Amino acid sequence: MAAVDQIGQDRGGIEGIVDSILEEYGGVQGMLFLVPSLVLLAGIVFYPMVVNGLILSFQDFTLNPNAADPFVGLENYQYWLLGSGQALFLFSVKVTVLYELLVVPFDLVVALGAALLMNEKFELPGLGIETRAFWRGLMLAGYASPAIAAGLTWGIMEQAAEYGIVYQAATMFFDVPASGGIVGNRPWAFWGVVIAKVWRDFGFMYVVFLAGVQSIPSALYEISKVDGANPIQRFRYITLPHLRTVIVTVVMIRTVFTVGKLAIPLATTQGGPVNYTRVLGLVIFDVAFGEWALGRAAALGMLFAVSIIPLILIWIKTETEDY
Amino acid sequence: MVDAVLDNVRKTFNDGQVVAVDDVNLTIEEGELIVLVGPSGCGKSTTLRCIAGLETPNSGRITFGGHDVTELPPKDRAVSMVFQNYALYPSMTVYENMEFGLKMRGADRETIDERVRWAADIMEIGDLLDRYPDQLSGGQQQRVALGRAIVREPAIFLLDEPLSNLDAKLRAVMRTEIQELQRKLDVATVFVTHDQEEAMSMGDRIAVMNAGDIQQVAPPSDIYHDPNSLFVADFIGSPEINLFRSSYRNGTVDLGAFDVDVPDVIATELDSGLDSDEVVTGIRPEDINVVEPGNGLLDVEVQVIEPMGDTQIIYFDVEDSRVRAVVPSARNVTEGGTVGLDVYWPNVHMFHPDGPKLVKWGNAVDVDADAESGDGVRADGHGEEAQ
Repeated sequence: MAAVDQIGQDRGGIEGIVDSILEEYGGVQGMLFLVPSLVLLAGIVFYPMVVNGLILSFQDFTLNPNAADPFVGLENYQYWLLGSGQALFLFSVKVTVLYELLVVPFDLVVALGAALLMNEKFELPGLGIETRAFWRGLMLAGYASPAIAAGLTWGIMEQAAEYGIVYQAATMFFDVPASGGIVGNRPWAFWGVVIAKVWRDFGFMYVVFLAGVQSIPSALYEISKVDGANPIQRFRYITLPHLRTVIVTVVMIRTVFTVGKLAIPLATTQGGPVNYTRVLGLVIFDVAFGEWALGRAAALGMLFAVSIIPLILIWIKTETEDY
Repeated sequence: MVDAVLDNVRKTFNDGQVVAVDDVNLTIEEGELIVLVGPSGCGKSTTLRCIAGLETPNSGRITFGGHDVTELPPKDRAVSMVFQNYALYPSMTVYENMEFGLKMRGADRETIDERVRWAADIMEIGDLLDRYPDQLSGGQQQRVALGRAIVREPAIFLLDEPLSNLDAKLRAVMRTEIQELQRKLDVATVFVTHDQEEAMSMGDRIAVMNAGDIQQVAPPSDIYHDPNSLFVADFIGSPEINLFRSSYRNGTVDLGAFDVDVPDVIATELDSGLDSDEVVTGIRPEDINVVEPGNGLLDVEVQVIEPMGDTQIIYFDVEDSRVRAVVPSARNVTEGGTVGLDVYWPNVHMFHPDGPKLVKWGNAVDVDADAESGDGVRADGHGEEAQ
């Protein structure tokens, strides 16, 4: 190893880099093994996204397959960054960031709470029947349901009607206007989407946390009881440190995976009232498949892709970091 | 300095279907090291957990120095505990692990620091205080766990199989260290183990448990030389005691391969204690002596020899049962060779087939007097002093 490194350094420059790459991947033969998956990835990811998407973003798209789509240069980008699309673009970026900042922590708290709760025993009094498995399964109902179905159902429950049970419950604590209900009024609509999203998604973090909580040796809790720690201190000094790594990981995964998702806002509020809950993904979707302005949508998608690169880099860093 | 008293403590699980601790009575004297020993599942750990407060007994009372602690949570009991797997907090340094109990009790920084350094000094882990548990060896973790337990000056010190995860050599070292530590601290200590050798070598007294019951509480030598039941006799001692299903009739015990006429005193005990002619005769391996063929009670063929250094364990078959004898290595025996067997009768125990001991020969009979009358007693082999 050391000797090979030495040679690589001595040569320096391009040759050195090539040598170190060859060494990293096990020489030419090793790299050949990567070719099948690279070809596959090129076909299903790079071509449609990078090549097709990029080309599309410089074109004015028409539905007629026989007509050539004229190249319009940077016009689509100009539309979003400087032109009449700028206001919507900036607003939806703000909505998306806010949405992320609420959904992910909320998701974390709910999932952690559910995992801690589901780690307790649920014995039917007197019968000695352990019902924990049932409740644990039920916690995954949201994650098992299609996002669109979940969003539509929440949308219905948030309407100002007799069947709008979420609306009915909310009016007990808050002054939600009857016309439009939760989904049709600010700022309630935003919370309506966040709640639906968290309900739909917390199952993922919950499963990871439950596994994490279960892997904590019970002797640690017992010795801490002998040491005099109360439940909050036990959580603070044993549970939380033990889950630290998984919390960082799932928060990053959730952040990256939530940013482009549009099913819940689409189904719950359709982005309304007006554009109040229109996250960036939803704007792209509407422009692409509502207005059929695929060139503009592609340009926005490209801007979006570039802007989340830092997020992905942070994610990769946390994934490879050694705790 | 306090004592701990368990008064009819009972603990059941699964709505009473499993009785883990069955009305146990036990007194741990001030400054005493008592070892709870028994096979897996005998209830020794549950008993310890009841003392710690990690389990609440279904009935019975536990008192520390006269104070009823039965319903108190662990933190209010002034106990400290060491677990088999040490249970060090992985996210904390050695120092933080050791200060945790004091911190939770709101001690001030100065006291904490003083106590932690005192305990670290005793356990010789002063140079490890900044390390994390996963940077320590098993033996070091053990020391930290012990250090953490003594930091708080506990009233009762509870050790749940603390040596089981260590290798044999380290275990022997830690045995002595724990004994020394316990003597230095002079704190009532309960040490749970399944290893009878550990129990014998460490305890001021040993409590032998089986199936939720304490069978016998006594100093190690009493447990060994005067077990009060078949279970204790069988569980304590390595190699284990030889038990012969025997029959008793009219002053004669028939061990199958040979019989022995018992002295009148023993006959009286057996007559009153037995409800059939069945009796179990227990002979420790070192009370069986190997003599020239023809000179003993019977001649047998040596099956296996296990050299142990200063002694050797010799295995024979008598009737259908495997019999063990421990003799000095100097005794010239060969596998497959024939030897005579002799028994040192004063150390022989007679048990009721249901378990309780009826009589130990040497306790009932004045050995020296009887030796002369030749009433089946031979003092020629090696006697008690050889143990």
